[in-house]
Amino acid sequence: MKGTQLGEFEEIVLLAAAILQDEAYGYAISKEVAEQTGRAVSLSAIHSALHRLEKKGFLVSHLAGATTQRGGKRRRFFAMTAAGKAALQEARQLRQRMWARVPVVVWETN
Amino acid sequence: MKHSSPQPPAWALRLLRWYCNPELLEEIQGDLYEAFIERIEQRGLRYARRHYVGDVLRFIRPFAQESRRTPYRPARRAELLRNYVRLSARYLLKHPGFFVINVLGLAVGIATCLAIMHHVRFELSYDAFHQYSDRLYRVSATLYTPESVDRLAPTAYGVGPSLQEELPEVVAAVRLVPTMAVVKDKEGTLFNEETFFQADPAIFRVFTYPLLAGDPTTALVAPHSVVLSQTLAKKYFGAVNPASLIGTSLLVNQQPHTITGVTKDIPQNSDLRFDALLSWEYDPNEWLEIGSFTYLLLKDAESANVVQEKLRVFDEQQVNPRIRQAWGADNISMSHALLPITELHYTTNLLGDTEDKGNRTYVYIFALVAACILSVACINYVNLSIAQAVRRTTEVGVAKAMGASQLQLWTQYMSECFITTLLAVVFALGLVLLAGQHVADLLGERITWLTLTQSGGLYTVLGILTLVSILAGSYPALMLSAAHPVRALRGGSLLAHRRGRLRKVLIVMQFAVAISIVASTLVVRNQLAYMRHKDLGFRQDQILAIGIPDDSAAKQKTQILKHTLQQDTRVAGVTVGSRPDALWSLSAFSVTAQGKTRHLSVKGINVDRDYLEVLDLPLVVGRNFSPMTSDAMAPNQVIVNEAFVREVGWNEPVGQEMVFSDTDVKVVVGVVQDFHYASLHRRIEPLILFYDTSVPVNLLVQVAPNDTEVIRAAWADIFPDFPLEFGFLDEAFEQKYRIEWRMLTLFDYFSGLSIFIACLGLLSLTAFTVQQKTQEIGIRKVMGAGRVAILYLLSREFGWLLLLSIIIATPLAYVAIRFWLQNFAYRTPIGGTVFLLSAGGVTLLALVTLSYHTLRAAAANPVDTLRHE
Repeated sequence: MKGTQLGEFEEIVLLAAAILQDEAYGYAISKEVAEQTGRAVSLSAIHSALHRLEKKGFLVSHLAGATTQRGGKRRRFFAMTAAGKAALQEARQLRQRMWARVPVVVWETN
Repeated sequence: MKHSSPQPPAWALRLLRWYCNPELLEEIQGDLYEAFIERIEQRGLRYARRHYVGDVLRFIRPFAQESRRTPYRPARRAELLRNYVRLSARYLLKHPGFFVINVLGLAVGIATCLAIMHHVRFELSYDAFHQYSDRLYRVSATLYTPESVDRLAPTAYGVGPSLQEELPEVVAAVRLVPTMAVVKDKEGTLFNEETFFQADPAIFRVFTYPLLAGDPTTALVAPHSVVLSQTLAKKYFGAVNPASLIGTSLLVNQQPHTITGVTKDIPQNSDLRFDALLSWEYDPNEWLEIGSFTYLLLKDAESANVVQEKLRVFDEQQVNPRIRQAWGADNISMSHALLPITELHYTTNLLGDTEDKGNRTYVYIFALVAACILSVACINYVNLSIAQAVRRTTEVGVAKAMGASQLQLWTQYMSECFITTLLAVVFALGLVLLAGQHVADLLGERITWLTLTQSGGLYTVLGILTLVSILAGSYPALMLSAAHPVRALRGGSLLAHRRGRLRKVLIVMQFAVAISIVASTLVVRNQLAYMRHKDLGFRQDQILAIGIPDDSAAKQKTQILKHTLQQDTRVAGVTVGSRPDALWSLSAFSVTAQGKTRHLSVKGINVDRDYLEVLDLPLVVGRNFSPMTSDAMAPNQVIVNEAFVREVGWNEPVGQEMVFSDTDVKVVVGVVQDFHYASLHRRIEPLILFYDTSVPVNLLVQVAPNDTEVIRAAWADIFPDFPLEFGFLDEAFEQKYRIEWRMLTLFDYFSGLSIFIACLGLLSLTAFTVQQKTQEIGIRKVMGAGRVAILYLLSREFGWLLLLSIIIATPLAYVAIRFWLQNFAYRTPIGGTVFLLSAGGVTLLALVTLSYHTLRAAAANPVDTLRHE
C-alpha cells in the first residue's frame, strides 16, 4: 500500500504516543516530543501528524474524559494499532540494518 | 487571576471555531486551552495569549478542515454519475406506465416549443445573414404635397449616387428597381417574371449574395447582363452546371441579355427577395421618378446618427431644389430617413414596399405560447412525480437510514428527471424533423437538421433540456429527498402537510389554458367563416382577371381581345378595368361641398362601361358612364362610392365637380354601393372609378373555370409575345387571409395539444386520488354505494376545480379575443356560445378522463381493496 511510509516526525510522534500509553492525547504528546527533542513543537504540527497517522491506520483514537481542567473539552486519546507497531519495528530494523552496514571506521574517526 | 478562569482571546477562539471542522474542534480547543493554562503559569497571561493566537493561526491547515470519518467520497466522479443513472434507469423501467406518460407529455411539449422557437428565431433573424448587416440601411422617402403626405419605401433614383458622393460616411449606395420581365428561353417558352430587379454593380460588394458562378465585381457592369438565381437557372436551362451558363444568351423583354452570374438562392429570411438581377438599363429622370429601393452601406454602425443628421441638410440643399425643378412645382418637398436593414421586415407603414412583412407582435405571442406549453408539460411532470412520490416513501426511508444524504437523494431524483427529459428531447427532435413539411405549411419555413443547428439552434435545444430538467425535476426531487426517514418508513405520507394544494392550482391552470385556447380557436374559426361567406358586395366567383402586358399597342389590342371574347357564348361578360383589389394610385383633387372647398387624396381605379355589370355592382343613384363617342372626348366622367359621398359630405352627389387641375375637371355621374374591394381587415374607404381605358391594366372576364380555353386561344392571337397570366378573383381574395388560415391551423393544433396535456395531468391526479381513497371506496361499496355514487364522490373535488378554471379562463380569453378581432374592420360578434362550447367540450373530455380511473376503482371488488391494509 502506498503512503504507509513513516516520516521522521511521524515516527517520533508515534513513539511518543506509544510511550504515553493511556495518556496519549494531543497536548501530552506534544509535551513529550518537545521534552525529548529539546525543541519547541507546535500543537498544530502534532495534531496534523496524529491525523495523518490515524489515516494511515497506525493509530486509533477515541474521544473521552471531559475534565474541568480543560474547560470542559474532552480529549482525544490515541492508541497504537498493530500496524503502527509493525511500522515502528520496521523503521527500527531499517535503521539497524543500515547502521550495521556503515563501516566501523566512520564512527571511530572524528 | 481576574476571573475564575483566565480566557484566551475571544476573537482567536471565534476564528478557530470558524474554520475548524467541528469534529476536530473539541480536542484541538481543549489542547490549546491546556497549553494556554500552562503558559500562564510559566510566563504570564500576556505571553500565553500571544502564543495562543500563534497556535490558532498555525492550525489553519488543510487537515483541520477535513472530516475525521472515512468520508463517503467516490473514487471518480464518473463512477458516481453512472451509479445514479443506473438507479434511475432501473426505477423508470420498473414503472413503464409512468415513464411513458412522462416522456410523451414532455416530448410533445418540447417538440412544439422547439418548432415555435425555431420560427421565432427565423423571424427575428431577417436579413442578419449579410456580412455588413449592422451597417446596412435603406433610405425611405416622405413626400410632402399640399394634398397629402406619403411615406414611401422607394426613393428617387438620384438619391443613392448623390448620397454616396456627398457623405463620407456612406461607403456605397446600391439601388434596386423592381422590373417586370418577360423571358423567352431557347425553346420559345414565355415566362412572366415579377421578381427581377435592376441593380447597381456594387450590389455584390455590399450584400452577401454568394455567386456560384461568375465574377461578383464585374457581373452587372456590362449593359444587358443578367444574373440568375439557382432556381431560375434550373427553370430555364434544367439542371446544368452553373458555370457553364456564363455567357449564354437569354431573351429578356425582347432584348438579348448575357448571363454573367448565377447566385445561390436568396435565403427565405430576407426582406427583399429576387430571382434575377439585371444590369442597369433604365435611364430614369433621376429626380422625378420615385422607383428604386436605395440601400446604403455605412462606414460603421455608429455613423447612422450622423448620417441621419446630415440627411436633413442634404434634403434641404440637394433634394428639394432638384425635385421642385423636375416636378415643376414649388410647394412640394421630400425628406429622407434611414432604416436598418434588419428592421425592414417589420416595417409596414410604407407605400410601395415589399410584401410578406412580419408582425412583431405575432412573433412575441408565439414565443409566449411556446413558454406556456412548455410550462404546462413541466407541470404535468411535476404532478405525476409528486403522485408517484407517495409510493416511494419507503424507498427514501431506507436510503436515508443507510446513510444517504439529502443531496445524494436529490441528485438521484434529478437524474431520473434528466434521463426522462433527455429521452423526451430526442423524441421531440424526431417528431419535429418528421413533421417538417407539415410545419413548413404552418409556419412558413421548413425545419431540417440544418436549420435546427444553425444560428444557435443547438443551444436552444440544450437550453430547453436543462431548463425543463431543472424546472420539472427540482420540486419533486426536493420533496422526495426531504422525507423524514422514520415517518416515511412507518408509512406516513410525506405530503401530510400539503394536501396537494399546489397540484390543484396546477390543474386549474392547465385547464384554464386549455379552455382559453379552445375558445380562441372557435372564434378564429368563426371569423374566417364569416369572412368567407360575407357578401363582399360584388361578384367574385367566375371572374377571371387577366394582366395586360406593357405593350405599345396595348390599348387597341385590349379592345380587340375584349371584342373577341365577347363573341363567345361561354363568356358572360368582359370589362377592361383594374381588379378591385389592385394597387390603387392616389388621386388628388379638390371638391366643393356645403360651401367649402377641400383638397382630398383618394384611391381610384380605371374602368370601362361594362365594369359595373360584370362585377354586379349596383348603383345607388345616378347612372353608368355614357359611351365615349370619340377619343377626343376626354374621359371626364367618374363614379364614386357611398363612402366617398359620406367623406365629402354631398347631399346631391350627381353632377358635382371634382377639380384635378386647371384643365382637368371631372363630373360625378353616379354613386355605386359600397363594396369590399380590399380585404375585410380594413374599412371601406372612398373610391373613385375613372372612365379611362387608355392604359389598361386588367381584363376581367366572367367565365366558368372550365372554359378558360377560350381565353388562351384569343390571347395567343393577340399578344403572342407575352405569356398569359390570370387568376380568379375569389381565389385571390382568399389569399388575403392566408395568415389567418395559418393561425387557425396552428390554433387547432394548440387546442388539441393543451387539452391532451391537461387531460394527461388529470389522469395522473385521479390515479393518485383513487389510490389514496381505495379504502374509502371499498367501505362505501360495502355499505351499498352504487358505481355512479362512487364516481360522483371522486369527481366532486374536480368539479370545483374545473369550475374555477372556467371562471378564470373566460374573461382572459374574452380580452385576448377582442384584442385580436381589432385587426379586422368587419368582425363576427363574440357570442356566448363560443365560451359555452369550449367550457362544455373541455369539461366533457375531463369527465371522460376522470371516469377512466374512477370507474375502474368503482368496479373493483371491495374484498380485494380492503384486504390490503
